[in-house]
Amino acid sequence: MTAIMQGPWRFLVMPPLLPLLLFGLFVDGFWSLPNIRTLLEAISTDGLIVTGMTIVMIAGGFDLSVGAVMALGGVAGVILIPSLGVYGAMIGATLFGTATGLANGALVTFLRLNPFIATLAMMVMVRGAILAFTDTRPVSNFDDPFLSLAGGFPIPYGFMLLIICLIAATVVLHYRAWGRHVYALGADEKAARMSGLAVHKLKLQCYAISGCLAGLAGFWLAARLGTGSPIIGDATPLTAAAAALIGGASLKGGEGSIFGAFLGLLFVGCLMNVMMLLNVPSYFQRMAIGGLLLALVIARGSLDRMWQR
Amino acid sequence: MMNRRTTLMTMLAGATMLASPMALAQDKIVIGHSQPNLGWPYIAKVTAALEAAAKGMPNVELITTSGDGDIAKQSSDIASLVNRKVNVLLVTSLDGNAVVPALKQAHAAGIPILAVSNEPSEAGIALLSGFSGPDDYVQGQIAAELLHEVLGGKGGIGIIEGSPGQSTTLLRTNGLKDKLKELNSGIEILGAQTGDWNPVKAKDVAQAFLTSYGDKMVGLFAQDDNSGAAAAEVFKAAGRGDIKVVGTGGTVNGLKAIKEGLMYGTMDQSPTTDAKQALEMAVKLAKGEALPNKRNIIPMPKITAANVGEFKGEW
Repeated sequence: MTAIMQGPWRFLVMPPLLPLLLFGLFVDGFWSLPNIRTLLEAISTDGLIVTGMTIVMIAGGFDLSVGAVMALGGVAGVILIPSLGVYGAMIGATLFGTATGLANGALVTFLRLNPFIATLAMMVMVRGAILAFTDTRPVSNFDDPFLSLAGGFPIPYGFMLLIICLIAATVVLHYRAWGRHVYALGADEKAARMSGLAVHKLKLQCYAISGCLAGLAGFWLAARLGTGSPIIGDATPLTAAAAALIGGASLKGGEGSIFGAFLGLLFVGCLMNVMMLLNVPSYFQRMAIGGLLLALVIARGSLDRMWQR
Repeated sequence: MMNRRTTLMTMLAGATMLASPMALAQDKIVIGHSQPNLGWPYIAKVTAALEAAAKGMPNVELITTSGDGDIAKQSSDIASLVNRKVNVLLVTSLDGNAVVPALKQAHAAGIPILAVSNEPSEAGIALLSGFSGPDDYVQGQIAAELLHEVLGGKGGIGIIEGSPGQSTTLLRTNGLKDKLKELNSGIEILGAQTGDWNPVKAKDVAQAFLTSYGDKMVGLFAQDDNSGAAAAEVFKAAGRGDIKVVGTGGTVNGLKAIKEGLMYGTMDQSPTTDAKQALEMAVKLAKGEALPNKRNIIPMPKITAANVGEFKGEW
């Protein structure tokens, strides 16, 4: 049952991922511990966002505001540290994120706005608010208790946090009734409502989770950079969606899995890293990722048609 | 804990270096350059000039990374260059604060750091072996001098800024403001709006300035020449060609606009001079030599209609 809901093609990213990891053996420095650490660190904050985005996409929605909320989490977190301490500020940042997520959810459910439009408006509003609040200046904190959050060798703490979130998300999504309801909602909202599911509440929860994780990701990224920047995360919603799509989610909803999305993210991260080590100019890196997304989506479409025939 | 981690990292990095064939070519100098975004014209020109100059030096290898305008990516880029044990790290930062933790890593690994084209924030400057490049703050000051001279120290001006939140933007604005104060100038700043380094957006801002400030506005500071030239076109079309526009950078478009009488002036910022000086200093640092000064600002002469013929416009 669970396997069908997650879609048979969630491991479609495996055929390109495994050869890439093997190819890494021949790339000087790819399998070195410092490089693995850099790679894991680079995907850990994006991973939190991809996790939230995947849940929203499974529920049939989309969250364009994750990048702006990430900036909000970083800026709010850094500003809160002097008064609340590092962990208090982290909680503050996630609360800010959760609040915007709930606002997104409210726009989508109670006002019945299209998720793209609702979260687009929220993205622009949140971005404008942070720019105004910070007077466009980044806020910094280079104290050790904050920066040490980005420590950990060879596994960065941020990646450990991501693993915890991935496991938690997998459990609630694939091994709890709540997860089945989210898949049902994404697959057919009308049917889900008729069968008595609390559709509004489910949607609110999904957007709140996405906002919460985006706020947390922003805080963690700020720890890595010692800086909360009001301009960070412009491309984040699209890269997060790309990873989720590569990992088997679809814009129609009801499909995808956390593990698949993580594989998608890992693949994009490894590909960027290998190309960087081979000194491939960054334009080609982007072209490769776009091309890969296209190839996987086309492959999935044709496999789907074959499956149904 | 920080120290133990660093020791461990150095040990591991040492172990990988022994295993790597790269380490055999000991006399080769590997220069790593973390650029903020190779899609920006000035940055692209500097990189092209650096690569061209490095090609002429058989024992120098140059690795350039592009942050693609993302401060998180630039931080990973620098970490990668550190992992690869470059002999000297060149950094042109996208955000002077956000590069600091990555610079700390490089510093802890014993890699000399040269800031190129722009400088990190104060916490980062302490980690540098030196800086080579133009100075955004001084450019703002030069623009203030140009406007102060041509306007006779009075009247209102507008500012078309670069992208919000970037240190380049902040420094150019602050340089202008501070210099006007220092000169005791009567020039009043009516308003500042972002043009995002985008001439199309700059035209909208110029139009909005005309509507809001009308005859009160007699001058404009644009933080890049392309935006300055675009704004000057709007002013001319509205019959306000008398507004004195000062740009930044000495670009092809800027020089053309000065020749045509659209713009009043700008200051030269040559990517070739920038790249040449940076490479020279990078090689020095890689060899373990010290730089003559910690800050090495390239010359940035004022350009107006009087001397525009002497400049060729490189970007």
